[in-house]
Amino acid sequence: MTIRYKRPDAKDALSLVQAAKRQMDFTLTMDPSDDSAFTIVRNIYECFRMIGDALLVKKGIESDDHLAPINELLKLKVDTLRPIFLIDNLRRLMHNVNYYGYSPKKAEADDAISIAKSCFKQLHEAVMKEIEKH
Amino acid sequence: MAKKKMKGVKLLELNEAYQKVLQWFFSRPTEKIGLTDLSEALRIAKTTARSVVAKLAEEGFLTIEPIGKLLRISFVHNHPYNFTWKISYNLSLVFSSDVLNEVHKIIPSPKTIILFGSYRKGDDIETSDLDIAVEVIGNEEPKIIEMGLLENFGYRKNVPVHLYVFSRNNVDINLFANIANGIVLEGFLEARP
Repeated sequence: MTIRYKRPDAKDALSLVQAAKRQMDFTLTMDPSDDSAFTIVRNIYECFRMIGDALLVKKGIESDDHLAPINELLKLKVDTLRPIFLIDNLRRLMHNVNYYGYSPKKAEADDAISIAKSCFKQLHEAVMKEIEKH
Repeated sequence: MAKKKMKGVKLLELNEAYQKVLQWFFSRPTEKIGLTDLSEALRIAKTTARSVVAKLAEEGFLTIEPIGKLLRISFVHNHPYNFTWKISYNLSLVFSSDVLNEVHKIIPSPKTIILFGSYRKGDDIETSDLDIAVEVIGNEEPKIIEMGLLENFGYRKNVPVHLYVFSRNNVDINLFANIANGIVLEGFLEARP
């Protein structure tokens, strides 16, 4: 994991969070199927990664892998319906997709949607609060 | 200066020997062995073996039974090391073996991989199976896959590996409770209150 330091950028962080929210809202309108599973799982995972990345950007940290943003997100204290640590399972799933050619199924898309519905809103709000802090 | 170096070397050797003896008895808990056979099996000097065995006997981990001029050494099954150090030893063997890669060949994208059963509890013996549970997404019926034999597993040979594939929507509560009390090797096991 390589971490580079730059100027903290709240505006950039806010843009990331807003883009993630838009993308998540759209993704949750998609019908899960074996064909759409890849897009759904990837989009949901990317949205979580983006809001984790926003926390790093706000702190002036640039990471070149997916571990740091997800770990940053998992540090947040939020009350969710399902454990936020499941986001790391999504990261592992996407790793299998990207590096080993695994093809996600409808059941995996259903689970990703359930994780998104159980955790994204609370995490989004918590990240927004962090960004708005001076 | 030279004396100091020698001391360090001796200490390291003793520590290595201590680990070897511990691990040998972790791997062969039902066997009784003589000092000569033990030192040959572990490739350590007999004098070193004697001092390590004496130390472990003093700690209550081994019992030494004199038979004429010989010593018969055996292992105390309810000693705390079996529930502490042995579990970490088993875990290190699982991680250093190729088991997880083999699991991935059978289940390409497991949600969680868990070590459970006797190897997790530390009460495994020579004939115990290595039980690994794999959580998959969906409603799959639980199934047991015999993965084959692990040729070398510490000082143990030909350990059978069983894979319990389950989905949380279709699992017996007792099996799930057993699995949930295992050690997560990979992924995150969701447990609901």
